[in-house]
Amino acid sequence: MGAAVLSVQGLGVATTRTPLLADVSFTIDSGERVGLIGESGSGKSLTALAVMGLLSDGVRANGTVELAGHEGNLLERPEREMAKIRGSDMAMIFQEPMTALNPTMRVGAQVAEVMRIHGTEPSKAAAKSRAVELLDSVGLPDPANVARSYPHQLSGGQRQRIVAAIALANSPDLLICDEPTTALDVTVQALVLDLIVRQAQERDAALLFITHDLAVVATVCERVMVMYGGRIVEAGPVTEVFTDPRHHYTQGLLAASDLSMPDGSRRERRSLPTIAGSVPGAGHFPDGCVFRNRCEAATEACTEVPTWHDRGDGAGYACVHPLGADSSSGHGARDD
Amino acid sequence: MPACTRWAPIPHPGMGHAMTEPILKLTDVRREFRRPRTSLRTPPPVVRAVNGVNLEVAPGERLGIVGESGSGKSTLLRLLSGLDQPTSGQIEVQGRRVDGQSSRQLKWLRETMQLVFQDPMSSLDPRMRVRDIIAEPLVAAGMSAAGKREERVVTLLQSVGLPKDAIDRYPHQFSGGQRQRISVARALAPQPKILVADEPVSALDVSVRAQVLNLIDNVVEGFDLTLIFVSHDLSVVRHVCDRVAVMRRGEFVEVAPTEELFADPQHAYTKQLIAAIPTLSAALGGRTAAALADEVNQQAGGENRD
Amino acid sequence: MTQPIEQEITRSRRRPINATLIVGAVLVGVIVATAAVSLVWTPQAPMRVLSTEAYQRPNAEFWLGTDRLRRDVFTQILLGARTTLLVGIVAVGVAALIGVPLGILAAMSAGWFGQLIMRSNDILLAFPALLLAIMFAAIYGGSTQVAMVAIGIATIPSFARVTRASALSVLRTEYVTAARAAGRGPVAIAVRHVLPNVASLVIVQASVAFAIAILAEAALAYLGLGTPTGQPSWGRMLYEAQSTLRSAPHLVLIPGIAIAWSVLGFNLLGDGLRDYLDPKLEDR
Repeated sequence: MGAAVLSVQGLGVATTRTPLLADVSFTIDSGERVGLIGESGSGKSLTALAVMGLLSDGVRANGTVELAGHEGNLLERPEREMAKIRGSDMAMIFQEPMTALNPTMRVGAQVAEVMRIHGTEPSKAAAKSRAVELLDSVGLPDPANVARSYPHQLSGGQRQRIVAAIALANSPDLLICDEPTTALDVTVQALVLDLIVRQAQERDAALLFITHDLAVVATVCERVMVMYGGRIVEAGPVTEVFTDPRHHYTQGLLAASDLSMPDGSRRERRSLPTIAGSVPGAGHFPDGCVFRNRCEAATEACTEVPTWHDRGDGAGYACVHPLGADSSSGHGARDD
Repeated sequence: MPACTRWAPIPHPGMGHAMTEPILKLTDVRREFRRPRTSLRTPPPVVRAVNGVNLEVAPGERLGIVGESGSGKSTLLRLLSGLDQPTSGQIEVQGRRVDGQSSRQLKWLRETMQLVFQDPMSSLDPRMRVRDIIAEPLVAAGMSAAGKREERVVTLLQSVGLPKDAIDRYPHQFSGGQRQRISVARALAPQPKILVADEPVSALDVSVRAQVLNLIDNVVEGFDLTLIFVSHDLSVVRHVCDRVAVMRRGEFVEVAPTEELFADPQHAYTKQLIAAIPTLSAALGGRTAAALADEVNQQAGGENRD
Repeated sequence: MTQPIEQEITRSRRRPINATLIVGAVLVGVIVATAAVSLVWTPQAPMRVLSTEAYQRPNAEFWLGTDRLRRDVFTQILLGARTTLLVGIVAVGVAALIGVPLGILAAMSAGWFGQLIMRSNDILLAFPALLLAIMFAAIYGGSTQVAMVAIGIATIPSFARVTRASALSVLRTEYVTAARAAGRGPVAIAVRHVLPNVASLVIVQASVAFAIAILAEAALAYLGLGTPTGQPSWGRMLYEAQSTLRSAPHLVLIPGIAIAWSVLGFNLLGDGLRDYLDPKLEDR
């Protein structure tokens, strides 16, 4: 594993009235694949947008975001400089491949365009032939022909491969994927996941992979961060977090999302374990521990923001009454 | 590979009507759509969305229909709920024909069969109060006394786990999971025999998905319903259903009892679908994305395409 | 049977009010207030010829001066607001009452009938509102009533189009499918589901059409085809003042400002309402 490519420290995002993200810190090394999981409204996409400098007007970020090879804090860079970094040193693959592509432009030209913008390929002809090569490398059959088609003439999986080709065109150091396979069929998903992992590995790129699907993140990533209410509540190696979670939210997600038993057999039909309630809207999370209004173990102590407990090996959690640890005994009852 | 055809329902465990009449029967159902002309000389291309489907569902059975986008599963649903007419073939519910009937003649079907939809936002009229949403099937069925309707709506809200004061609110004031509860309450209103659920949990977060699956399970059990559950997600179908029909390109390629289908899939496409599901246990056991893709490619043989 | 586990229900969110809406509402409000005042009070008797000098500049006695026929301009402006609003209400009313049902009907009847409605619509759309009104005036004589109805008829297609387009998208939603599955007939679906959901767009369309109707009435009156002499109308005032543009510019400026004011007001109101009623802002 290489040096840190992306380093995020104390990232916070807020509108004028509502805080959306708080105290998000993590680093990703080159060649490392890190998953960011959480339900809708947890702030995972916002984290990606903040790192890319793509927050919409009226939403401001504070903290520091550092990218290897670029001096200082990316959050303080003017838009003009960020535009140069985006698409070259860091790139993003979006959920909806149809809306991420320009419907009125041939896909080959769209791939060639990013190389021309960033001056990777000086001449038009070179960019064009390089685009066809790229389309070939992302596993599209008959790439020369595909390059001449428009997005609507391709299937969802093919379009997502085009989006991947655009993101990879300038060999970014950091690749961010935001739910890249959620809109795809399950058989296509398997192939696109493989493509993303393979391409990131070939370029030794740092991968930030955002998804709500725990099984997908476990398949793709080696490290995972669990996000809820705009905060990272637990992080660590996938096997550790998913087999021995400390945070009640992580455990709840695990229990609710896997419909089969650990040995792969069918789970007894009656009563799946659930997490009580639902994800509150932005700005309606409780203060202190963001999960406490849905947590069975919550007590008076949870009204303070829980400190980050290091488990070593880059793993940790933010919970006053962690699971698995001795300290949780005796605090089981809810303080009403 | 020949399609494995087990059209007949499996006897429902614990119920003594193994040989009862099927509550739903499809015989060689086809639905063709004519695409817009692409040329003035050639006839317009025809899409066979549903292409010769046969099926029998026993009362009380839970049948899953699985397929990827474009498999024709949504069209099939519209056909069997009488919202669309088949090009040919027969559809019978409780022995009565559904195909070829006008919507006025299908009033009885509206009380026998009810639907729950995928998107809990767009399936509830944003400008109607919960009271009116849930009462709509009752009004349509001719229950005119407002007091009686209200009483029924409150009972229904309770049976789907929503508080009584939800009755005066609008859909946008609820979370996705709560909206899906409202959908289920509306579906239960006319006391149907068959519940048709079209991807009811696909738009929900994982933590809420389990709540809604439990709810569906409870109402199917509690109200003694027959369930037709359509999904693209095999693992959800496996959890919910007794029997699964795998659909591709308008045809059932395999129909089998759930556990049999998972333990010993017959059709290549079924194998591919099962292989493609990323599972937590397999991933933690070391199955990488490359391994997952390999399995899918292997099962697909030569015919892989996105 | 199931325990209630999702108890918190979000409180109804207040809709954000935007500046465009407020400015539009204020501008329109002033006109409505003006028209209302004219019902109970005017500085001079309506349209009376005064025993004073013609072409007076605005002064203490005659706040906005007097015109060629020695009538009080301020009184005419007050009364003209009434005409303007009346024309707008009747024209938009005719257009909406005919256009909206036609649009819903066209959206709900898939076959030749829907096509027939929309194609006749297209034909009507090919006639400029003004041309239609001139034709009407030629046949039935120039009067405010004829002008109002003619403008209304000419505005039907735009209502039918907007309604049809948004009705089509409402008809594609799952809640309409759900209503059909619940056994609701087409009339109930049109009234209970389609109409309330296209209403916001129709309201926006109405306020824009209102502005167009005001302009059209002014133009007709200016051409001498709308409101006849002796009745107060801002367009009429412009028409009568054109020959004295140089010597008494205020006689052109004042009704001109009034027309611009009301058109701007209704346009802003329409834009503001569009944002205010946008269901996307309402969702969360």
